[in-house]
Amino acid sequence: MKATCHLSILIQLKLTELKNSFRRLRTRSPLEVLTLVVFLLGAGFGLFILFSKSFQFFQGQKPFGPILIDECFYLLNFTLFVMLLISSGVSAYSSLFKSPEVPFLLTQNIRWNDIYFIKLLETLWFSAWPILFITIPFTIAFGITRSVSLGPFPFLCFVFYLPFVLLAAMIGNLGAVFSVWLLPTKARRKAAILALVGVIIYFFARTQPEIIREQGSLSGILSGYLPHVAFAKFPLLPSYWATRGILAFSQIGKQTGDLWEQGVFYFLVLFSNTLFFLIPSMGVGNRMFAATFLRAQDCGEIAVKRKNRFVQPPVRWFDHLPWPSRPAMAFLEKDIKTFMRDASEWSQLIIFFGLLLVYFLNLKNFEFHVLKDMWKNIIFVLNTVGTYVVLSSFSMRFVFPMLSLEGSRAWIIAMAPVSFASLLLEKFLLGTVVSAVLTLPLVYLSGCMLEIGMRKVFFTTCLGFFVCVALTGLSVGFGARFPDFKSNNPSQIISGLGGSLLLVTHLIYLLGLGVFLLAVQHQSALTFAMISAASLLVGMLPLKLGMSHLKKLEF
Amino acid sequence: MIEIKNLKKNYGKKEAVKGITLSIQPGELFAFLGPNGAGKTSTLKMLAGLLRPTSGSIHIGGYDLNKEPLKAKSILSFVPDIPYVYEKLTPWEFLRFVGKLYSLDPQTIQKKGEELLRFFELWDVRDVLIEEFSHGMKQKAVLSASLIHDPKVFILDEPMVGLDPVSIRSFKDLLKKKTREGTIVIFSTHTLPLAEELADRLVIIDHGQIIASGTMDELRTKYASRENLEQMFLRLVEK
Repeated sequence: MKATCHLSILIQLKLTELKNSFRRLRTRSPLEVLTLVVFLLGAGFGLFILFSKSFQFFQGQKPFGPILIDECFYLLNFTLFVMLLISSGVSAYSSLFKSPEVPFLLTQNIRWNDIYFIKLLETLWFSAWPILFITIPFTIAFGITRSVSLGPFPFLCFVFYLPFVLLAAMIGNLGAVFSVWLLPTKARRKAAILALVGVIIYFFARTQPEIIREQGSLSGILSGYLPHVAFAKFPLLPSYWATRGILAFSQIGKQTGDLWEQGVFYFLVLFSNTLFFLIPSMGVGNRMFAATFLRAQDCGEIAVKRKNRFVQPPVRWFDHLPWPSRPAMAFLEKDIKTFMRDASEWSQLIIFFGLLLVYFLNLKNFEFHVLKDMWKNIIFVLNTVGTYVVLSSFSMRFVFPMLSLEGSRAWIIAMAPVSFASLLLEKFLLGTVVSAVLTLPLVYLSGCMLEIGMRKVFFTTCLGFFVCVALTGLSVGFGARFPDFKSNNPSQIISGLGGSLLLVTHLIYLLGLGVFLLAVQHQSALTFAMISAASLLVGMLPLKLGMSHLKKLEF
Repeated sequence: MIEIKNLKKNYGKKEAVKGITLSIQPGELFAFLGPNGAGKTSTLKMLAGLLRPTSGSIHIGGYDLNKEPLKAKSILSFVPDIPYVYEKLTPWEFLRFVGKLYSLDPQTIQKKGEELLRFFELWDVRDVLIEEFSHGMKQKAVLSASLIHDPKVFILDEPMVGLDPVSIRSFKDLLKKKTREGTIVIFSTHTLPLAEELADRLVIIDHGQIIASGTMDELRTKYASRENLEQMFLRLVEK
């Protein structure tokens, strides 16, 4: 028995799966593939332009330009590291403890360690994509601004980012195993997630920036802001080592000093730490993963649903609503319960909108309310559109896949004594109400904190309702027009043609809305009627198209 | 060949398996019967190493499953009630993958794989991705893969679900052939006529304990009954 070969066999397996997935692309419509490619390239190019323009602006602010660009680099890598830790932890949890592949592999004569490491590589693979998507345009824009030779520079960044991503993935995996070991039951994990969300929101609410006294000069603004981003330069952070190393190499030939030695030193610090973390990973893979997996299995078997005193009564009220229909209300109850019982779903929602809430509550500390009306209005519109962008991602993540996620249960919809019209209406109403409850108070709060006139705040908040209608209508309509009943994975559903087209449509609509709100400084009944009518049309048309497509489907 | 001693499994305070002791000899076709929640799947999962016993021991082919899991698993194959398949692989790739896990040489994988895929009527679709398959075809792909290394112990949880009548007949014949060659086949089922037809020996589990065990004839003698298995099962479980 050659147990040592198992990891390589598992790697071969994953490569074959990947190859087959690409092979499957050939069976998809060329329009779908083209849309995806154009969207990806367009988004990458858009990011490049954004970074380039920002760097050029900073570069022009002599003598602070280079400092600002360096600060951006530290902040980017710090943010990436935190995001990688979270995403690899979540990904490791689902792939190590929830994936049906693990029990299958366990029945084969494979060592626990090999299973742990193949899952680590999977985590690494999934984490690497967003990193590439952000860092490639960032580093190219950085290289051009700094006039670094673009030949070796991307390679150099790759050499630094490889151990950086691996280190984050290893820590994330270790974190997932330790968390499940400490919190083997779902109930405890749910409580821990809630506590963590509370701590994050409390932390952000407490870390209020100092009021920037000297807004007249860039040096005044910098001296006010920079101390608040100094945490990204904490010398024990891997993001610090990667940034210092890349910055040192990028300055060779332009500045004097031991830049070469510095670059190599920080690379070795990063690399040696990555190698070091292989030791606890091996230990966990060999011993702790097995014990934790089996412990989680034991606890999973006795999970008992407890009645939620807070959610149950309102859900029951829906039974008595006569419209659109009682069977549709049954779907409504099912959708709400399914959402509420999945901690990974609602925790994302709380984090996204919780952070927005904290940001809006802090607006006064930025002293934006003392700015001229024109600037206040611009900030208000940007905040409003920003809130809708978050809402759009919520709508795409939760509302669009709702119908597709019925999956193999789609026959229930087909067999149920409920018309497709009332079913879609149910999903549309649910999405709109939840969207409005989440966003309208935020838009109102943003206006109040900026001390915008109440008339304008009220006008924009009321318009927000129609924006919710438009975004939800688009999501439900596209979900019905492009359903994917084969997949149980929301990410996979979103990445299809329907999801890509929806994203583009959402962004075009929000861009149009933003430009319109910026252009219209005075609120009138006519403006209100124009935007609300356009939004209703944008929301209802795809809903109608989706409905007629659903009627033609065979289940 | 399989020695189970005082096997217990607790989930918190709930005792799912309450001290099962069994010995199964090579060439036996052994059926686990019992109502839902009786402890069958927990017992089978412990035999496959997917659950850790609270106490007791399992020896497979002389290897302690707890102390030498890899050696025990190398002669074992387990097909769960809802089996996992790699949807992005073809059945041929899936078989090759499992064959490699058991360190089979390429010629053996080729020969044995072709034989199994032909037996389960998947040869013509060997290059189609499994995600395109019906439930029954996926089940056949799993069964083929589980037999590629000629396991000495073959454990199946509700193996016939999804198979068409012709495949069920062929698979029954295959199981009998395997037992004649010395393989231990253990399966759980709710289809009592299937157990009656196939099993050399059977146990009925209820509330985590064995309430009856033996061959059909032994059971009839023991309970002084001329009933078929279904009637006997209902009487025992309702007690």
